[in-house]
Amino acid sequence: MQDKKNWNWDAGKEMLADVAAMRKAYADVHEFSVSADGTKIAAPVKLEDDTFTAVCNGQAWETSFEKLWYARFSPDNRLTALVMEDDAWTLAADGQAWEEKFSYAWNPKFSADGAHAGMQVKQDFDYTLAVDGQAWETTFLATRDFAISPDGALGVALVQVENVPEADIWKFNSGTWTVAVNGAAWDRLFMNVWGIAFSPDCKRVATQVRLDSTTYTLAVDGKPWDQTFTSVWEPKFRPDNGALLAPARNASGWTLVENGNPIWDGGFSQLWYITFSCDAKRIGAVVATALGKWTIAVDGKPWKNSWRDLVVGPVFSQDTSKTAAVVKHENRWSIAVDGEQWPDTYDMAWDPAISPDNRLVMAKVEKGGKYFIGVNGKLFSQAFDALWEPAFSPDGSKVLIRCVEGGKYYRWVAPVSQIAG
Amino acid sequence: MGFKPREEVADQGIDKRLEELSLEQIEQTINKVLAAEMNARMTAYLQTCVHCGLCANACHYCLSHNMDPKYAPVGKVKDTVWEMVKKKGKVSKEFMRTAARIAYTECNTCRRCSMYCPFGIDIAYFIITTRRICHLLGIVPQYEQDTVNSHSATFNQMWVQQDEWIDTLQWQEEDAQGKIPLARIPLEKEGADIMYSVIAPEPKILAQLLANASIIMTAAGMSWTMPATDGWDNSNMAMFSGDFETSARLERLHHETAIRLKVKRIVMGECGHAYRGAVYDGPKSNSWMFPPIPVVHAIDFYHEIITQGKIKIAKKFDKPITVQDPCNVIRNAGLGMKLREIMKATCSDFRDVEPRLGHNYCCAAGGGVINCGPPWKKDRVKGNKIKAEQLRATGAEYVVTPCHNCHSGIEDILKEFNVHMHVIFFSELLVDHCMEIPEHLKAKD
Repeated sequence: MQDKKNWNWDAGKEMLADVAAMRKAYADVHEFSVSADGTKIAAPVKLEDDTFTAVCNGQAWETSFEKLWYARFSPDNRLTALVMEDDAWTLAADGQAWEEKFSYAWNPKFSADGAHAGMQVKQDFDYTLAVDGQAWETTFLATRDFAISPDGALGVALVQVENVPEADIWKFNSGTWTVAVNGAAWDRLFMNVWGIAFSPDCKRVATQVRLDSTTYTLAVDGKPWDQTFTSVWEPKFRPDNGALLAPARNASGWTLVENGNPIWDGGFSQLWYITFSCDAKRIGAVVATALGKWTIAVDGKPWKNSWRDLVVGPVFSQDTSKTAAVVKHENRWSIAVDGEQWPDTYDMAWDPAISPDNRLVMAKVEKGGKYFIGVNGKLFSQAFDALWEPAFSPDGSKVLIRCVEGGKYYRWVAPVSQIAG
Repeated sequence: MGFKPREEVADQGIDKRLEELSLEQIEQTINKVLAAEMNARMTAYLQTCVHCGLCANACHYCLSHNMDPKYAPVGKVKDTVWEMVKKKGKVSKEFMRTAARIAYTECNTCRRCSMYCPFGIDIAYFIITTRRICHLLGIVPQYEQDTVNSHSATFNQMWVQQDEWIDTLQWQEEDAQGKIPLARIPLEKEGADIMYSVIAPEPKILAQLLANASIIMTAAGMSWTMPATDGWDNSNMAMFSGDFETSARLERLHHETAIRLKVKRIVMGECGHAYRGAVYDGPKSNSWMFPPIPVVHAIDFYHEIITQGKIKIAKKFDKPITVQDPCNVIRNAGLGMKLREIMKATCSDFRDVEPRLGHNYCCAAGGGVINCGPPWKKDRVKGNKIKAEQLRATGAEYVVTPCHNCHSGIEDILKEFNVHMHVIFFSELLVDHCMEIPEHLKAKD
């Protein structure tokens, strides 16, 4: 994650790329990606010779590839993409491909500072991870997901370590999946493993496990909790004390458990997306109090209002007093703050951001094929052809807008008073 | 009239586990499900049924077995849930073997019988309850369980590896470019209008259907995407095995992938049960009253782009052709007239089936039955003679099956009963025979 303090917050609007001209210049231009600080916009492009390269702020990489896709900016602002040359795949960053190549490579991810990169790879018929250009020596029958710890020290993958002959349901039941950390698989195998969570010190790893066809729990560093449940969802470690929290279902419904024991009263019809406030004192989650009654619960207490279709994971204000979330009711999207919905609804809404002083809640929304910035329920008058999620400056006085207008990409730092009216 | 007893069929998924179970485990599990998971609905249905037997005329198994009452829906309920309730779970292992066989292999949960019941009782609900009990006991047909295991480990029903999925989309995109040079399968395109999802047989054995999707979407000018992550497979056999926890996990990931991609709707390929899972039987397992992201079946989508002129029909298909009404999207979701409108828009010699629409016969493959695999194929095919006769009577040379289960099931019965008919998907009809490629998208010499 980038430190927003290091971004340029001088007010002004700068045109960084003529995307309309780019579309004319190349045979085909794929989807655009924009860096978090807004200084770069890039897309894969097809060249006249049917090879691909990436173009960043109008400048093409010097190298082209047989294939190139998944152009994304790393947290340290490098443009990365999955590339194929000579029928082998690898990762390229700012035009430089890793030396090591693979039969296939996908799902690149980064450490929090962007210094470490990894991805799932297939070499011939074996599966493993490659981190910082180097494949693990250990290979597996399959990898299904992976993560790099925020500090970059751990590469973790969900792996299949034992073969299941065709339709051998007994072998599957005995456990063939586990978690591999830096190439070393846990000793204990499970019927299923899902999701990866890191402890705050990046030393421990947790995952959901299925012990048999009807018994679920969480496992930390290969050891399952003693307590079991009829179902569980993805866990998170508490940032303050490292305890593991997870939604778990028991006879009274879904509740939040900490190290195996319930910490919220009662049972919800559904509970997922655990979120912590910045100081980790408050816990939020998406809950359904009954069929089609979705809301946010903070410290176990649901908001007074609920929505029929869905609610997305909550966002806390810096002082922890305010929560906001995307909500959807009868196929219309909006933003709700502390349980109160903005008056208008939209065709789509993105995750809200709360200003450092707590006064403003801002979100990108879509209406009638155009994109807008909504602040406290009112739309900034300007409509955009494309817009990436806006951000508050660290002092809350300005807003970073990354937008396309009239075929041109702009990085625009505007006073918050201009956007919020 | 005497009827033969069922022929013995060995299925280790049922037989082996039954050997290990105690009668106490069976009793406890039945009573746990009946007490904790069932509701007033079960009681109301049980008390409402007057045992009239009118449902017998609805069932393709019963019709295909000379009205043998053991294949009548009421007979199947009598030999499963009724007996469990009556005996308060004190049933024998042999009873459970038969109950599992009936629930998994002799009922497609197609709900035709509910239309013939004077009270509209959802008889499939009894069968699904039986399957839930069997799942908790671990007595599930081996191949059906293997499919569910694949779902739980890979989030798709055919053990498709993640790289195989993405790689297949990439080469199918290239195949589509043979017809439209700028055709795309845009992966991970956040903010597209549509997420297109399919079931695992498409990348595994019918990859050309993915190229068809690319051609149709590109020609229609749609803003669309496909995920490069798990969550692309909209199928759900766990819903049919009674593993509702895995079912909920699948439906959650499918919808949350659409939520992550910020699409406005999911368009799904030609599959019936997937629609049932994503739209009306599946969402409730996650407490969604309705699908959190609207889901449009391929029939509805083709109807939209044809009637709105987004794609043009260059030439109507002129060979005699009929259609299958997939139960999960026609009887149970009302897309029958739209299906006929697109058939008539694309075919000059469309010959409708009789009975049709909501009264159409099931393919006998859906509801998880075809996934019970080779041990049960003979029973499945013999149990749908009525469908073969129905199709033969149309005189058609082709049948469109806008559902994967229907496609496979009908291929099997046509072969068994010597009906000479080609089985195709609607997208094949559209792309291979009817569709106009807009001038601006054609390859330039």
